[in-house]
Amino acid sequence: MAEYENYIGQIKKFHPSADYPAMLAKMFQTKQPGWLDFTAKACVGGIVIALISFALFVNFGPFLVNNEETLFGYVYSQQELIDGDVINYIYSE
Amino acid sequence: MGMTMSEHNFADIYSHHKENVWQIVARFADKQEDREDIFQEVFLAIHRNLPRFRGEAAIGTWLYRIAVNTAINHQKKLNRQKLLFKFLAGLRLSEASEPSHLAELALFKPLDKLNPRQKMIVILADVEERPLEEIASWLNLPIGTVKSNLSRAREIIKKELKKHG
Repeated sequence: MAEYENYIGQIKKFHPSADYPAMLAKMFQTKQPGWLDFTAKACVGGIVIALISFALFVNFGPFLVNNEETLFGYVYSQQELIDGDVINYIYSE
Repeated sequence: MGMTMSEHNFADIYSHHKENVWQIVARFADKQEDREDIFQEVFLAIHRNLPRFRGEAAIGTWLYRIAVNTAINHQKKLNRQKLLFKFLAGLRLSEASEPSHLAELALFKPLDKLNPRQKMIVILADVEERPLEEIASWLNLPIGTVKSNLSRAREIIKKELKKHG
């Protein structure tokens, strides 16, 4: 216990100097406001997501749309059928 | 142009509490650069949150709550960086196993064996001699958790002191 008390005593005696005016000045010079930091991160995140989505669409878009076994392809084919029916109906009238 | 209310309060808060905050931060971080970073982070957080301070708690409680939690979060961030350095050193992508300054002061070696929360509890309870109830309120922890962390932290420090004689 004495060893511990002695150690804590050494920590208590430890007083590093501080330049308060300099720290205060630096505080408002170098740090960005939180909202700016967040906005910058959000923009970068958005661009990355958009690029990845575009790359995926270019790669797999035609396959997804032309293949009726995929959800996109199924919806697309149904839409074509509906559109066709509507056009047929209009012209038959 | 006069100061706004919150700027005026901030100037008062800074001049009244800077030394106490520095004292806690200086014993918590083992490197001058980290001390200054934490100190600035604390007062920036206070400046940011001051317009939302409704005076439900005493200004001291509110301020030290921000100070101790900012310091703990900063230390957690540093610990994660240390882990990354170790990992990169393992992959031989980085030369240094960890920044040399982290072990700069032998005085802080036993304290560095604690996790950030334990370290803060030891500093507040044993170095600053703050009441445990106050520490529990600043850290938003039950008093039992503070007591158990303190007792565990003391054991770890004693073991370290014995090891290094």
